[in-house]
Amino acid sequence: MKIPANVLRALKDLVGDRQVLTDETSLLLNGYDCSLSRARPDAVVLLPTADCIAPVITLLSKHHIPFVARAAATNHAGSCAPMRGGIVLSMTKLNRILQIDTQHQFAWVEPGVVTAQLQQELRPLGFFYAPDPASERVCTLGGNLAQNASGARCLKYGGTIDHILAVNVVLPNGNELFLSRKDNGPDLIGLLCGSEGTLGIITKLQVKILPLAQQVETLLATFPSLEDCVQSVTDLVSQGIIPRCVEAMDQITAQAVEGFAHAGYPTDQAALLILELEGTKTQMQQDLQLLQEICTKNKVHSFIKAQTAEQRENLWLGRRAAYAAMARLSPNVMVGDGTVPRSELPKALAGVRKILDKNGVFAGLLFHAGDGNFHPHLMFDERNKPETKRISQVLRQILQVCVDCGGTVSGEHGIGVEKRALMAYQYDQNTLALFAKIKQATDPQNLANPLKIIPLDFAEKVRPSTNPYENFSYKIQSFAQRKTPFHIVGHNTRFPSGLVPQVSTKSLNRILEIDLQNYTVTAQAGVSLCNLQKTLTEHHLYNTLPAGPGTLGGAFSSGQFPHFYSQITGIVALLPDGSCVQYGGKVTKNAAGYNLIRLFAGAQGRLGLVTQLTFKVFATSQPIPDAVPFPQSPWNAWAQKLANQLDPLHLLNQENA
Amino acid sequence: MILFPKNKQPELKPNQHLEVLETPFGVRALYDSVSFCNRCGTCAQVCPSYHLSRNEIDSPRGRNQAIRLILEGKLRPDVSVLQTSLAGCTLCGRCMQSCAGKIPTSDHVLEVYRWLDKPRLPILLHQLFSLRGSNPQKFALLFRFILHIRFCWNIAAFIPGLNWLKQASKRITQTPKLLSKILQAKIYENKKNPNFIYVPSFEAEFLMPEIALSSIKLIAKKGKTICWLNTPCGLFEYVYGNLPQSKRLLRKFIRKHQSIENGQVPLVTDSLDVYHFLQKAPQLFAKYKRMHRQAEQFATQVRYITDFFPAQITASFPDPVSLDYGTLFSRESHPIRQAHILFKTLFKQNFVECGYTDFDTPAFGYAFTAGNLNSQIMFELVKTIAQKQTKHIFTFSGLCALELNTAFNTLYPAAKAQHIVHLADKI
Repeated sequence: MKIPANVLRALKDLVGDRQVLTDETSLLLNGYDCSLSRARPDAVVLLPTADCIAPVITLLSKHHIPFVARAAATNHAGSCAPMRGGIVLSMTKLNRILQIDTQHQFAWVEPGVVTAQLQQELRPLGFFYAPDPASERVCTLGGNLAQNASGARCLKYGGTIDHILAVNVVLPNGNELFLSRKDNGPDLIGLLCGSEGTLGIITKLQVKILPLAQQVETLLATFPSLEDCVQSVTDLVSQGIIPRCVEAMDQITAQAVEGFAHAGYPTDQAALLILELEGTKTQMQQDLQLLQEICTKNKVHSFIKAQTAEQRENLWLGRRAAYAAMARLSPNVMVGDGTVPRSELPKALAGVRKILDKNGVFAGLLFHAGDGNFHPHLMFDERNKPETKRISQVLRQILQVCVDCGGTVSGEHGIGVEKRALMAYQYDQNTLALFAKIKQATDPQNLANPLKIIPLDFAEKVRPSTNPYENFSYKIQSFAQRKTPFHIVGHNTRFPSGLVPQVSTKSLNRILEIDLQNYTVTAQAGVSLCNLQKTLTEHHLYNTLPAGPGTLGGAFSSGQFPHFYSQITGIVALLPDGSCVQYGGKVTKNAAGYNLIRLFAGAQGRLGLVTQLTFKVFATSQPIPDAVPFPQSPWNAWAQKLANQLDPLHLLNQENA
Repeated sequence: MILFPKNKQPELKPNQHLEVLETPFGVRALYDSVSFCNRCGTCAQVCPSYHLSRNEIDSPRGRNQAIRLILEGKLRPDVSVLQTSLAGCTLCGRCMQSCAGKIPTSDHVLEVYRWLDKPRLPILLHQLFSLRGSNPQKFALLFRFILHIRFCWNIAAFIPGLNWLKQASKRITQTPKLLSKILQAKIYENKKNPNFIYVPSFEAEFLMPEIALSSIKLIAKKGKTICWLNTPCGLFEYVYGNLPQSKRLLRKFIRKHQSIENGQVPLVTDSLDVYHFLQKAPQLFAKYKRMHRQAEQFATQVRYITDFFPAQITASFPDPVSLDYGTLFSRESHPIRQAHILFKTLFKQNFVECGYTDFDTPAFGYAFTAGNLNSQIMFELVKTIAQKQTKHIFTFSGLCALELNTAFNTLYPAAKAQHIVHLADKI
C-alpha cells in the first residue's frame, strides 16, 4: 500500500522530517527480525519521544494504515515483520530509564530500554530485574513484554508477565490508557504480555526489581539418562528447593559445545545439568547437601561445584557459547522453543531426537530443565530453499510433539507469523475464535501488527472443540437464548441467592488431579477453599490461597488474590454464548496466543464461567498474602470493550441485574 | 559455495576486491560471509554508530543485510544512502567480537567502499598519504615540510580543499622532533643480524617519535640488536581504497622481511592497527598459493609491543586507569587480551574496565572521514571516562592517544591519554 502524501506530511509534522524514512534501503532494513520472515513496510517512523506515539497512532487509525512496533527485532517468530506493509514504528530511541525506586522496588522505563542496560544500572544498587532472556544484551523491555519473554531464571521468578506492575499503553484507535495491577476487572497487563504488539503499543512500563541474592552457588552434574536428569530436578522441587537456574543439554549438544568452547564439560554422559542455587549462607549449605543426595540417588556421574568466580564463569561459558557453537557451523540457526510439562521432557526429547535422526538433521538440544522448555538449534542455509523448507517442517514436527505431550508450541518466543499455522494444532476452534474476538474487540480495524498469532482461515483446519462441561453450556445457552441476565455463584459469598437466576458451581467440586511430578493440581472451580487446603495438606502440598470462605473459582475471579494468577497454568472456561475454551495445562510457561488465564482473572465472572483451573503447588508452606478488598471501581474502556464483545447482551454477573 | 547466480551481482572490478575473507571460522566469499548473519542483533548494541542514531541502517546487522540484499539483486544500491550507512562504521571490529558467527563486518564495509570507489578522505589529504606508498622519500620530505609550516595551517585551511588542516592543527599542537635525530646514535641498529625488526607506525615515525624511542628501549631489553623497517606496508591503501597498491606494498614489505635472516626474525610494531593488518596478510594473497604460504609464515612473526613487557612488573597510579581499545578490525586479538590481563593484575581495583557498550576512540583517520560522527563518539567516550573519573588512559596506537588528548583538552582536561608503551617507561 502507498502511504498518502498528506499522511506522510502529517507524520513528519508530528515526529520531525528526518524521523520519517521512506528510502528503499531503510524500508527493507526494518522489515526483518531473527526469524525467516521478511516484509517491506511503506514507511519507517523513528519515534523520538514516547509522547509522539498516541498522536501517530491516532493519525494512522484515522487513515486505516497498519502499523508494527519494532525495537531490537530479536524475536525468532517473525513477530515484528510488517506483513501488511504500513508503518514500522521504531522504538529504539525510547531508551530512557525514567525512575528507579529501590525502597518500593520498582523502576519506570521506556519500552526501548535494553534489558541488560537496566540490569547494569541496578547492579550497583544491589538490585536486579528477574526475567533474563538469553538475548538480554540486545532485547528491549518493551519487546520482552510483547513476547512475554523469560529465561533461565523462569522456574524461580516467572516470566516478564510476573514482573510488570503498570504500563501506559496506546490502543490501536489512538486512545492512551494507564493500566495498573490494582485496576478492577480482568488482568489487562497480563493480557498485553505476549500479545506481540497486536493489542496496543506500550509507551512506558513499571517493572518490579528485586534485591540481589546474598550467595549464589553454581554446579554441574552429568547423568546417564535424561530421565535421571529430569527426576533430579523434580526431586529437588519436591524438597522445596527451587533453583535459580536449571539449564541442561543432551550429550550431542554437550560434545558440540565442548569442542567449541572448551569449558571442561564432561561429554561421556547422556545429559548435563547446570544448576544455580541462591540464598543465605546457612540455607545454601543445607540445600547443597540435599542436592548432592538427590543427584547421587539419581545416578549422577560427575558433580562439579564452582569454588571460585572464575570456575563459575567457566561452567556458564559452555552454556552461553552453545548458540555460537552452532552458529559457526552453518549460515543460519533456527531456534525453537517448545515447552512440555517437566515430567514429559524425556519423552518429548526422545521424540525430537527421533525426528532429527529420521530427517538427518544435526541439531543442538538445550533445555530449561526446570520448566520443560527446550530449544532445538537447527542448522541450515536459508539461501537453500529446499533445505530451509525441510528444516521448517522438522521444527513444525518437533513442536507438534510438544503439543502431543501436553505442552505448547511456544514457551517464550511467541507465535508471530512463523508458528501461526501451528496454533490450529494446539488450540481448538472455540479457543482460537476467542483469540480472534479479543483482537476484534481491541482492534476492529486490524491495524496493530496484523496477520500475527491467529491462524488464517482456521475454521477449516482446526480440530473440533470438546466440552467437558456440556451441562453448564446448555444452562448458559438457554439464558442467552432467552436474553435473561444471570449470576454465576459459588458459595454465594458475593451475590445473595434468589435475586436473579443463577448458575451455581456447587456441583463443580472435584479435585481432578494432583500431579506430584510436575507439582500441579487440577481442580474444578466450585471446590471450596477449605476443602482444597485440607486435601493439599494431606498430600504435604501448599499454595498461597487462604482456607477461608468461598470457592477456588471465586478466589480466582474476584480479583482479591492477584498474587495467585501467576501460579495458574491452565484454565477451562465457558463463554457467555456457552462455548467452551481451554487454555494452557501443566506447562509453567506458554507464549502461544493471548493469555486467557489473565483474561478471566479478576473478571468477576463477567466474561465467562471458569469451570476448571490447573495451578502450581509447593512442597513447603508458603506465606499467604492478605486478600485485597473486593474491587468496586468501574472497568476501564478496554475491559468494557472486551466485555461488550464477549457478552454483547450484558447477561453475565451484572451488578445491577 | 556461492549459491546466488553471479549474473545478479553488481558489477565488480575483480582486482579491486579481495578474493575471499579469512574469518575465524574459515575462508568465505563476501556473499557467504554476509549470509552467515542470523540477524540476532547482538552486534547493534556494541556499535557506536547505532548507539548514536538508533537506526537499523547504522547497525552492523543493517549493513550486512543491505550488502546481502544488493548482492541478491533485491535492493538497488542507493549510493548516498549506502555511503551514509557505511560512514558510521569505525572499522573497530566490536561487532565481530560480539557475533556468534564471527562475521567480519569491517571487511564487508571495506569491500563496499572499494566497490563504490569514492575517496573518503579529503582529496588532498588522500593524495598526500597515497604518496607515502608510491614514493616514501618524497612523502617524508613533503610531510616534514608541512609539519614545519604548522603555524600557517589555520590560515591555509581557508583555501578550498585544505579545510582538513584546521582539524589537523587541533590534533598536532607542536612540531615533533625528527625521529632520525633521536636515533642518531643508532646504538640499537644492526641490519645484518638482528634479533628483532622494529616496524614503526606512521605516527611513531613522523608525529610521536617518543613512541618509537620507548618501543626500541623496551625491545632492546629482550634482544640486543634491532633492525628498523619503515617501508610502508599498505595499510593506508587497504583501508582507503586502492587494494592492488596495498597488495603491492605488502608484498614488498614481506619480501623485505624475508631478505633479513630468511624471514625468521620477529617483527615488532607499536600500532595495533598495523599489527592487525599484518596479521591479515594471508587474506590479501588468497589467489596466489606461494605468496599466501609466505604471508602465513610472515603473519606468525608479527608481534605487538606488549609482548616485550616484563613478566613481573609493578607500577603505581593513585588514580583510576583504563584502556582504550580503539583499533582497526579486531577487538579480540592476543595483544588486547594480554594488555587486559596485565592491567587487571597491575592496577587491580584502580583498573576501570570498559563496559561492553562503552565507546572506543575511532582509529586511523576516522576524524577526517566522518568528522561529525567522530565528534559525537568522542563526546560520549569522554563522558564515560569522566563519569568513571578515570585519569590515565592507555591506547594501542599513537593516533588514538592523539585523538583522545584532543578531546580531553576541551572536554575533560584532568585526563591524559598515552600510548601503552609509555607504561613501560614508568615501570
